[in-house]
Amino acid sequence: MDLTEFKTIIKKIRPGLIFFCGLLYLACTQKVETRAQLEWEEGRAVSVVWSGESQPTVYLAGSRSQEVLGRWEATSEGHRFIPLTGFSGGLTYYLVEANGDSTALDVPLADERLKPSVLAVYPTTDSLPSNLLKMYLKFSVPMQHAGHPLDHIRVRDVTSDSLVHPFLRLETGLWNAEQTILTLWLDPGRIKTDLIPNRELGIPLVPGHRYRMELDGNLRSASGQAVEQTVLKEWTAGTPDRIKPDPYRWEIRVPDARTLAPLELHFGESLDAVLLAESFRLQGPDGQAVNGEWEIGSLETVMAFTPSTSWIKGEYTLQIQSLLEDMAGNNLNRLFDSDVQEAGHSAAVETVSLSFTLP
Amino acid sequence: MATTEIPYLIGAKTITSMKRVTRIAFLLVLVAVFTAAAPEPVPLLSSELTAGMEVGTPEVGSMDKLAFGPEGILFIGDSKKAKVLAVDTRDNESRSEGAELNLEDFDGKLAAALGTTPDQVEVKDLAVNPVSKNVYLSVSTMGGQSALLRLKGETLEAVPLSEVPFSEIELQDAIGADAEDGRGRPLRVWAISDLMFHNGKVLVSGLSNKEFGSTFRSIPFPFESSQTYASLEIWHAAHGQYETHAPIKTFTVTRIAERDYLLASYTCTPLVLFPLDELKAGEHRKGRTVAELGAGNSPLDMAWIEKDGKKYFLMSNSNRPVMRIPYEAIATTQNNMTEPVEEFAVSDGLDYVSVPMVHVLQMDVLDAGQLVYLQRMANGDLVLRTRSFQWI
Repeated sequence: MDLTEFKTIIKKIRPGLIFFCGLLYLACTQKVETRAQLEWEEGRAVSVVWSGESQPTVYLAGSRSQEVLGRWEATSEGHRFIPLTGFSGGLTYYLVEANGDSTALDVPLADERLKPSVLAVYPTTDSLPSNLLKMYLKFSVPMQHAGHPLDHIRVRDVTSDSLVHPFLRLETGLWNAEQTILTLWLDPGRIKTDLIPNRELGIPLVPGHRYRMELDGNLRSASGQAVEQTVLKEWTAGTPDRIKPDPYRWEIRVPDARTLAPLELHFGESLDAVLLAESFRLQGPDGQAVNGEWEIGSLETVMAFTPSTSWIKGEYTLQIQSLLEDMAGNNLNRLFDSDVQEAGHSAAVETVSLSFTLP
Repeated sequence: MATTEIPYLIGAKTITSMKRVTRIAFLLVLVAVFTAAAPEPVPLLSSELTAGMEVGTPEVGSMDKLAFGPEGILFIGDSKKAKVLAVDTRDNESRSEGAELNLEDFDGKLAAALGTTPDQVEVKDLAVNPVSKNVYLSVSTMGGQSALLRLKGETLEAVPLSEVPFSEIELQDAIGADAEDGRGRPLRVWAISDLMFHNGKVLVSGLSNKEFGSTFRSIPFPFESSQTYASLEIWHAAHGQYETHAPIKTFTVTRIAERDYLLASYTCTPLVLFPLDELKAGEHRKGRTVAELGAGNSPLDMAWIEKDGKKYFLMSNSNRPVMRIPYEAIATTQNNMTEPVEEFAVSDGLDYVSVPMVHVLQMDVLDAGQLVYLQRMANGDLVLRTRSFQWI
């Protein structure tokens, strides 16, 4: 081809050529960017994958004298850094390489859907014995482990318009394994007659007084979000409960055979909500455990059992753990507050059995 | 992309173009470097105490209480999983003295080590390895994780808990069925309040979230899975007639007239003595109250120190300075207090000295002459310090 034809071709492909040259230039001069990619588990940032070749040191923004502790492992995409206790939402970290290059890592705040709320406060009834032993708070998500929950719970004696401190402050809050149920003990030193705290500070709840439990807005979930509810419960303190629960006085409503109607136990008083869930075993006429679901009802005064398959006729045995307590901590064997010098303890039993027949 | 391939190409070209001798030497150097950098092999477990331990990664719920046994064996009280772990830390380099420390802004340091803010971390316990004099800390975060840390000079390092020799034992009731919910998950957890290794046994005190009582266990070590152990209710009758099931908050063991005694403090802060050899499974036992240290306070830690040839008992508190009582006073007291103290917050029984150390959150003996402790200062700063017994 001659020069004129060549020039024409170049003119036509010039934009494409410029584009191609630009691309080549960028590819030849731009460093390959290394990225830090967070990995999440149940709403928490638990590790970061670093696509660079080195293993940088990780620091919390603002702290260069102490590195974040954790371990590195190789992955197909580079290396993964797993800090000992995860990354915290709302904070910035720096991954500093040996040559001094520093990459910022911003960790976003936790998922809004994990906002915590109080699902229930037990006992649910609003008339509690003045020698109440325990209360339970049930939360919708796992709650914080650092700090003490009692720092954020207030109880007000509405009748005398004063703040009271009825709960026992132990080393840690007493949580269940999932950190969703908090057990609050009322101070037994004050409940038990004649102990120093009882003589000085009196019983935690005064009969006839009205009380209100509130949160201060700073009780947080494991992901760092605060419970928004303020008033949790109001109740009136009644007379002390000094009677052990007696299964032989419970009303048992026996369903008909060949139905799925529930078996009902009526206690005549509110019992401990958490212990209720684990205190009963029902054995059928064949000697085997009956499959079904227990449900607590009516302010913890009733337990209902609905079988998975229809009832069959015959004799049933209900075994009740003697550790089951009423609201004052009296279990099937003993009163919580007992005078050892009075008539001696009767023999303790591990379970109480009740039998009934399904017609 | 062409750009990333070029460095490798250059490297390959470099190696292939080397003279043969140089190449062999280069490869030998590489081999030497890699073998030198290889991790040390795990030492053989030879001690009787580590019999029954297997190398693995323990499942930890929460690390709340720490206590050292001999030979660098660390006992960890796990409240969440209601068990005690025994880990061979292999931190066995023997030293006679611990390092002096004065670390300010310690919660800032802890937070930086765990990549979070100071309000999200909490020191659960502090324990000194009596062999190496290293300071160990169990730390909990708001997110529910536990970390086991150790001081290395003035920085913190993680104590390895994966692929380590360990054994464990559960704190479930020896008598009766374990409580489970409808789906078969165990419901009982503990708040372990104190832990100690003494004379071949791990002693544990605590409170279950279910029943109020049955708070003291004495477990033979090495752990055996089928072993039953003494589980008893210790109570104090400082007030005449009424029985109590109060949980022990902190305890120690002391030897008086050739007999070992448990010295325990409760949530109502009396100080109670109880002969250890009288502990029998399933029985109720009454302790002897030797002092009432005042209501409105909760005891935190106990320690024994010796200075100028005399032995002293120390107790740190939530709402009092550190108290110091001479061993002689405890060993010889005939106190058996059954009458209540009349005036609020007044103490009775054994005399004590208030050491000028307040808001001491954690405390342990560092070596034969120093205490190490974590203290909240008036300005809010958390400090980790050592102090000579001369000033205690």
